[in-house]
Amino acid sequence: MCILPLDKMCNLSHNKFMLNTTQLADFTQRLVPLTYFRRNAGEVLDKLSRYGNFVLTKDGQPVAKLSFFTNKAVSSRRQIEADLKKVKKLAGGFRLGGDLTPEKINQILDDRYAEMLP
Amino acid sequence: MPKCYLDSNILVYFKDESSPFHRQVVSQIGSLLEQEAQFFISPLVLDEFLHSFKQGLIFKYKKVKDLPQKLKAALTEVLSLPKLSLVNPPLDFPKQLKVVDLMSKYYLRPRDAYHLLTMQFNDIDSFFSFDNDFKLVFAAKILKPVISQ
Repeated sequence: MCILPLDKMCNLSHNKFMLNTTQLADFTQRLVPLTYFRRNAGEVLDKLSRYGNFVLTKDGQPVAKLSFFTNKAVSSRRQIEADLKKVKKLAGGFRLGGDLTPEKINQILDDRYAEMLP
Repeated sequence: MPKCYLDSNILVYFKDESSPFHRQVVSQIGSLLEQEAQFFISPLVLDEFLHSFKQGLIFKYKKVKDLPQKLKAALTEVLSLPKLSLVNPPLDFPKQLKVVDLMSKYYLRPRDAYHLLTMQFNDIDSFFSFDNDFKLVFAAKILKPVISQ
C-alpha cells in the first residue's frame, strides 16, 4: 500500500518527487487534517493499524506523523513461544536404543574414514 | 544474540528419544531460543548426522525397512528447527591450509578442524556439542561451549 516511505512523501511540497495517480491517492488517504483528527480521533486510531501511519496537517502543511505502535517485546515473546512449541513437536520420533554415546558416534565416523584408507 | 553451531551428535540426540541426552538437548535448544539465539549447521554436520543416524538405526534394527525414507524424515525435521541456517566453510584455496594449523594447534581431527574453520569463517561464537575433542578450543576461548565440558 505504501509506495514511498513517509519521510519522502513529506518532501512532496519541495517538488523533489513526482507521484503517479495510485501513489497520489494513497498519499492523500494518509493526510489527516488536525481538526479532523481532533474530532474523530477514535476513527483515525482504528484505521491506523491498517495504514501504519498518517500525516497530520495544519493549513495544508504536514505538521506531525502518527504511527501505529507495535509492542516488539510482546511479538518477540509470542515468536519464542511458537518456536518452543515447534521444537517440542519436531523432537524425538526415533528410538535408537540409547547406546549412541558421543564417543560411539565419533567412533562410527572415524571407522568410516578408516574403511576408505588402503 | 548468540550464534550457535550445532554438532551432529546434537542432531542425533534431538531425534533419538531413547538417548539419555535427548531431554538435555531439547531443553538446551529451548533455552537458547529464549535467548534469541540463531542456530547454524554445515553440510559436514549433515553428512555426519546422516551417517551416524543411519548406523544407529542399523545397530538397533539390524535390517531397517525404508531406510532412505526414515533418514529423509529425520533430516526434514532437523532442517525445520526454528532459527536454523546452513553455512559453508570458506571456499578460497589459501584458507583451506588453515585447517592443518587448527589440527596441530588444538589436536583436532581434520573434520573437527573443518567445523572450527567454518565457525570462525562465519563469526559463530558458541558451539553445542558433546564432543570432548574441542576442550583446547574452549580453553583458548576461541569458542564458548553451550554445555560445560
